Amino acid sequence: MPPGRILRGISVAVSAVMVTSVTACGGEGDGFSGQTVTFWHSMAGKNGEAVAKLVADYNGRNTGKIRVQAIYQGKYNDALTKLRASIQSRQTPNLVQVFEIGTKLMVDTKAVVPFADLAQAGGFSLDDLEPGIARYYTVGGKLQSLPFNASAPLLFYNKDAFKEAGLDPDKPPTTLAEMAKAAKKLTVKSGDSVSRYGFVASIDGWLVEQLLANAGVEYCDAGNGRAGAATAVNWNTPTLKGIVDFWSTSVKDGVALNVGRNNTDASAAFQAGRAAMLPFTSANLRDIIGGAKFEVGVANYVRPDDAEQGKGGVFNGGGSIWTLAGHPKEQQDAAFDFLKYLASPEAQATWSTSTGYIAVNAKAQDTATYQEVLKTYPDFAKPAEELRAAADVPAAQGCLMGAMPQARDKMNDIVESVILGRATPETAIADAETAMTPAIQSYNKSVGQ
Amino acid sequence: MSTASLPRGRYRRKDVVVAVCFLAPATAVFVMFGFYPLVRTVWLSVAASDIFGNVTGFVGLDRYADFFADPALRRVLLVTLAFVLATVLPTLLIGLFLALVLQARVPGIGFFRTLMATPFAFSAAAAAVVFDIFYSPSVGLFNGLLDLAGLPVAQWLTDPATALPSLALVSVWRDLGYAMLVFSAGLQAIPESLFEAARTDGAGRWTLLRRIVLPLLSPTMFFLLVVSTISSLQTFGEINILTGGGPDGATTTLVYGLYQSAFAFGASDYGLASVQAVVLLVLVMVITIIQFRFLQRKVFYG
Repeated sequence: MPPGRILRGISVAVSAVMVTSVTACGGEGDGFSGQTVTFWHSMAGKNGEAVAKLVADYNGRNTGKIRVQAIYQGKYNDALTKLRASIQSRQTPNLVQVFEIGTKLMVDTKAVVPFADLAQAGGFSLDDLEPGIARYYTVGGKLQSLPFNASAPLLFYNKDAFKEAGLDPDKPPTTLAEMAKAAKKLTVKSGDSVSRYGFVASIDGWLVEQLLANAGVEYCDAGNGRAGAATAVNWNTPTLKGIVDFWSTSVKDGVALNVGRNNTDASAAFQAGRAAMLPFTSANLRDIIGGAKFEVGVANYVRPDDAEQGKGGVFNGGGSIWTLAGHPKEQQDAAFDFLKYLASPEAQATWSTSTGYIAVNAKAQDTATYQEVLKTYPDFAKPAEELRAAADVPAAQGCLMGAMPQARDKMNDIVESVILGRATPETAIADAETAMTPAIQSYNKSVGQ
Repeated sequence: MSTASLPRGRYRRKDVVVAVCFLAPATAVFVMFGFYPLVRTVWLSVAASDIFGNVTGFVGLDRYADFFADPALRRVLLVTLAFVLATVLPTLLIGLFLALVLQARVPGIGFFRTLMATPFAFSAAAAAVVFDIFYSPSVGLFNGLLDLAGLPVAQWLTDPATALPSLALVSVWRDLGYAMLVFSAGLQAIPESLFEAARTDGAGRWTLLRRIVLPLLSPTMFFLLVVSTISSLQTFGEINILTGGGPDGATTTLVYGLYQSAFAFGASDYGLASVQAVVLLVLVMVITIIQFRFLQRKVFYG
């Protein structure tokens, strides 16, 4: 074959490939001419099914006009990594769900449209949103994103095991010391082999953040990052030492099961009856109650021993949905319409009762869906009540800091190294604090703060 | 074509054009996905970057100094070497053993050979998820079996001492099929006449293995050694799913440390990540050169 024909052949082949791939990406192939909204989320398992149900319901109501494409992007941390890459290459989704500790980072990307601005333009009243939760996502006086999945930390416990151990199933522990005492009684051992542990907890910095908030201890400086940009973490406190000590001692004494950093392993151990108590997020309330073969008790989260009751309080975990800037107006309007739907009492009632997340719309409690489920599972009301009971102090609102995802991971390192006997609480905390300072500084420097 | 009639080093214009046409696609792919990222990695390793990964300045070899001065960071080198040893040696030894056993001439041996090779068809992610269930501390299969046998349960992935071997087990299980297949192919290439001649001379099983099979299999073994070492150095999926580099950094290899520096937990220290990438590149090159230099001499190519 002469070279000219070969070259022509190559160029024809290349353009054919390009044309097919362009059509594959662009067209839906079914003549859909409305707006397509891409929505990245991090909900897997039962909670992922609940998201799919909401999206299908919304798409059904808007046939021919709006189509929401919900895409699971992996866990919160992985999704955040992908989002940052998409911001760099200017190929962002319309909407993205980000965990609570990504809030400052999202604001600092300057790639988002504040939810308050959209709400004002779209005639959506922010008054219906749970004030405590909305406050968490308010930065610079503006609600930045739509709180969607708000969770509260809870103490799940096995009521049958409580009775068996001679404990009152209606009086779950409220402090770490009470929890340690109950755990000892609940542990069943024969020789060295433990058939039931007092409690199980995955190594998760979030559990520690909530304990500190419940004790009224600020996690970082600058008024927990609410009065200005935080410059350091405030970890060198007797409270944190006490928490780490409680945890590692419990594991060493064989009353607590260490499952590493895997949340699912912790809830699985509890559901299988291998551990009698489980400090865990409310996000999987429905799943945990449904999957256990014993009567599950749901209690408010415990607080550290040196904490006075009422001085602090837990705050919302979970995440919110952010609107990315730089998309056509019609598409952004369609995305906002979907957000309005997600925030509606009916959608929030469905969402809350199929997961365990707190309904962010206060009116959701009055819907028939919610009332119906509450009759069978009165525990669904607990997470929201627990959040509302928190004291109005910065310590109980969680630390707002750009390097928060790294801080949570460092907290895991502290707990893990002490549990494994590699460090004392004092040295582990001091090392982690030293490691966090440059991370926070470099973050603040790169966003010009 | 009579290239012999042309002076050395000179080609017809037409041939050059054809050659360029054939080379162009591969070259384009290599430049885009091989050379460009490589050059960029080296550049990023000597540059400072902000939290979004944008380059903000030149810092020379500072980040290399950071990496080698920090004992916690240096530790990934030891973990990486331990992981390579714990995966490559068992894979090769057990793979060879299985290949020898499966040489037996019994009916249906093809079925068993296929069966033994199937783990190779699993993706790292799928295998890791399955093993994650096996290793689960409270409801896992392995601890269930230990419990049933009246033995103390193990902390497979949560104890720094057992985490790396547990990870290596998944890798070995998955790579074994491939090693066995390649060894089998190597074994079948050994002419039957050699065995017959040796047997006639009164050689026993061990002599056959030591004097005929192993020397003639050495090119295969060498190939597998190089390929497995490189793939073991690049293992990511199993670590990410099963341990996330923990507990306490016990399974953070170079590749995983690189990922953590660049992407995990909202970090974007592309500089430090690139340093680790360059160290990995040098490590792969050095190991490969050593293997070629010293082991190739002992390889018998028949």
